[in-house]
Formats: sequence, structure tokens, C-alpha cells
Amino acid sequence: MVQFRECPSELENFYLCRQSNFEPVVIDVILEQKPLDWDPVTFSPKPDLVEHSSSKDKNSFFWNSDQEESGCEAKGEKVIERWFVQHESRKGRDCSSGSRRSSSNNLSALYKKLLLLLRSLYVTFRLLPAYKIFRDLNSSGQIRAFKLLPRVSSSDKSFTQKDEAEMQRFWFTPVDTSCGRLCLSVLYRSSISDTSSQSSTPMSPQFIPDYVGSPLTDPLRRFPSLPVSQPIDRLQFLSHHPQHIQNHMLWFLTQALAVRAATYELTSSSSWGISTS
Amino acid sequence: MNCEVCQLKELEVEHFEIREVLRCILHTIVFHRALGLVRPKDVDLELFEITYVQCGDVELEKKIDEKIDHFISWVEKHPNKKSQICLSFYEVKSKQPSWFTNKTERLYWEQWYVNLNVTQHPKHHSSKSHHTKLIVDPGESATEERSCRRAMVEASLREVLFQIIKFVNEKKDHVPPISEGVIYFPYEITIPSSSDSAFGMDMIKRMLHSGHPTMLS
Repeated sequence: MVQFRECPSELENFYLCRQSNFEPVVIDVILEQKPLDWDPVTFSPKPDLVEHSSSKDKNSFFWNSDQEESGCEAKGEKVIERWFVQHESRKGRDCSSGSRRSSSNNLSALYKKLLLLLRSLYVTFRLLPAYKIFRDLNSSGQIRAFKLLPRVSSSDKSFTQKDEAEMQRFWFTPVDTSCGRLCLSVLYRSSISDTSSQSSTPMSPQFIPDYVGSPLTDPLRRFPSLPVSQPIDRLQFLSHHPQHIQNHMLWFLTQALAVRAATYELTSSSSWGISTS
Repeated sequence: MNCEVCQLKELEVEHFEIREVLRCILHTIVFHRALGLVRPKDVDLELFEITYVQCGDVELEKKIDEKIDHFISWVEKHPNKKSQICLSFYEVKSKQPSWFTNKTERLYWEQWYVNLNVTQHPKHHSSKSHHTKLIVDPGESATEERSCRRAMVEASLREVLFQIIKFVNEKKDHVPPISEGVIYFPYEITIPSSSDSAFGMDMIKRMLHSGHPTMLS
């Protein structure tokens, strides 16, 4: 069981505020450096970190000291992945045109192509550098100096030239739909500074009385699993009116991306001393 | 029927790396072609910092491992040779039986060629100019060279995996429709046999079944 915090509500609010289904969805996976003045063990200022922060050369992990230059990232944050999901509308074509049989064939073909896209998305997630950080946070018993956060928006904030030079783009081939095409791409940092060498503190063996799932807290919320690991009711999926397919595709993909980003965030929270079940 | 062919980038690997590299590549391809209900399983390579995905099917894992074992045996008998493993997907079509042909035929719709160049690990000869250095620290340069080489193989393997993802995304129309209840499309893995000519015969057989020459890019 995994408890979500801000991401699912963020995603829900995002969908409520969307003016149109054709607006792009931008999902950022952000590597956030923990506040300098926070010690998770003693909850007191850490003078050694404050001292290091004054010397930019000593520790390249301290990014974005020039906040004005980046313009889009808060201090201590670095976007390590940016996913773009958009359904581009095909103008001047009636989505519901065509016979019932051809519509059914088209839906079968569309389902197949979406499934292929999801498969390759699933594999790609694991090949990007953020996955390694996620695994480090997940497996280490240390309290790390950073965490992963998701951010969902509909605007593509530009990166600095320096950041863009460090990033690579991968385009997934668009999938044609009856009303247009579904486009997906990712911009990712091909190398991230070695976060495993950053200062970390072993987790103290303290008993946490209000851990997630304990009788003292609210019951865990269930979350929808990623479709590839659950049986898919294809008849139900295919029976939807074609005009609503793009809604579900967008929801489908953004859920998959947001769930992944949120899972990264939750895992990094574990390393901050918050217990999960 | 249109048979799409993908020639994967050649990888230079050492003998002990074959199993991991082949498992990674073959399972990644099969995962993209198992369009039925699967329970994806993440597998971390031990030699490289790469995680790949399996379908979570024990039988499939066994079949792939068997083929890899046969390939490794072949490599041991044919050292320092470039080799190719072919993973093919086909449809079974029934046809009119005759004296010389079977009732069913295989129509290949996709072929993946995994190209490996299995090298022997070079022995470190202590050259006279480095003799003194080796006495002081004989392992350091070898370790550096090994880790540099390992990083290159890892980068190449990642490229191959992205090549697979790219191919799967670019070519979708030739993939047959998904059948209810079927998890995998029928597939076969062809490895070089004990004689090269037999391997060539397998290729010719496949060409006859697919109806047009195999495209080698």
C-alpha cells in the first residue's frame, strides 16, 4: 500500500482547471535538495552544511544559486525529467464519422498501439537516470540530502541554455486517434551529479508512533495500479464513444507518469524518516 | 505479409557477460511483444547498472535461458567469432497439405537480430616500459581499464535498449491484432548451430516462409 500526499490532488485539481483536453500536460520529476538548516536527527541547524553552501566550488550539488538566471526552478531544485503529453486535434474532421464496424476496427488498432506505447514507456522509465536515484532512495537506510518531487502543469517552462545542453530528448512516435494524435516525449538529464556521494545520515532507530497505517493515523488511501500490471477490461475500454477516448488516453498516460513521479517522491520521503507500509 | 527486420547494434562483450546481456535484450523485446496480461518483473543486471523488464513468466524465462545456454556452448566451440541471434515472431497459417509440405506454415512478421562480438579478455602483458609501475601497483591500471571497458559496454547496451524502444514505437502497423486470451505472439529464437552452413539453411528456410529476402541493414 502506498499513501499519496499532494500528487493525486494536484493531478485532480489540474484536470478540473484544464480549459481543454488539448492542452499539453507537463509532468516534471524534480530533484530537491533538502533545506540546509534541517537536521532530521537532531532537528537542529547543521553548521557544516551551511559552511559548505558558501563555497559553490566545493560542492557541485548546490544548484540554482542563481535563481534569477533559471527563472523556473526554486532554489535547491533541479528538473531531471520533463514529460510532455498532448493530444493534438485534427481539425476539420468529424470524430464520430465512419461505420460501426470500421470504428470497432479502429478502436482495436488504437488499443494495440496504446498498449505498445505503454510497454515502451514502462521500459523507458527504468532506463532514465532518475530511476537510479529512486532506487538509491528506496534501498538505502540513510537519510539523504535530497528527495524527488512531482510537479504537474500545462505549461512548458523553458530551461537555461546550460540546463538544455545537459538534457536529451526522446520522442515516442505519436499514436493516431480518430480525432488527432497522442504525442508523448521526455526531456531528461543524461547524467546527474552523483547523489550517492552526498552527505547522508544513518536513520536513527527511533520508534515512530504515527507511522502511515498505524491506528493513530487515517487509513491508507488506495491508489489505482498501473494498467500493465492489472487485467484490462478491453470490452469496457473499447465500448467508450470515440470522442471520449482521448480523455481516457490522456488520463491513462498522465496517471502512469504521475504515479511514477509520486512513487519517487514517497520513496524519498521514506529516507527522510517517514515510515511507510 | 510485411516482415519488419531490426538489426541491433553490435555489442562487444566478454564471455562472462553474454548471459546477462542476452537476457536483457531478449526479455526486453519479448516484453514489448507480450500484449496479453502480464505481471512485469523488474530485473537488475549484476554486471551493469541497468534494470530491464521481464514478463514474469517462469516458462518463458526457462526457454530463453535454454537458448542462451546453447548459444554459450556454441561460442565456446567458436571463440573470437562474431555471432548473431535471431528472435522471430510469426503467425501460424494453415494451408493445403501436400506430399512435401506441412499443413501449417509460419508467416514471419518480425525479426530481431542481436549481434554480438564475443572477445577474449586480453591478458595483461607486462611491457618493459611499465615494468616498474606494475611492481608498485600491478592491479590499478588493469582495474581502471576494466571499469572503463565495463562503462562502454553498459553505454552500448543502453543504446541497444533504446534502439528496441524506438523500433517498437516507429513500427506498429505490422503487429498482428491482439487475440483474446493470448499473452505472447508465437516466437522462435535461432542461434548459430554447430556448423555455420546449418545456420545459413535456417535463414533460407525463414526467407522461403516469409516470402521475400531478409533485409539486412
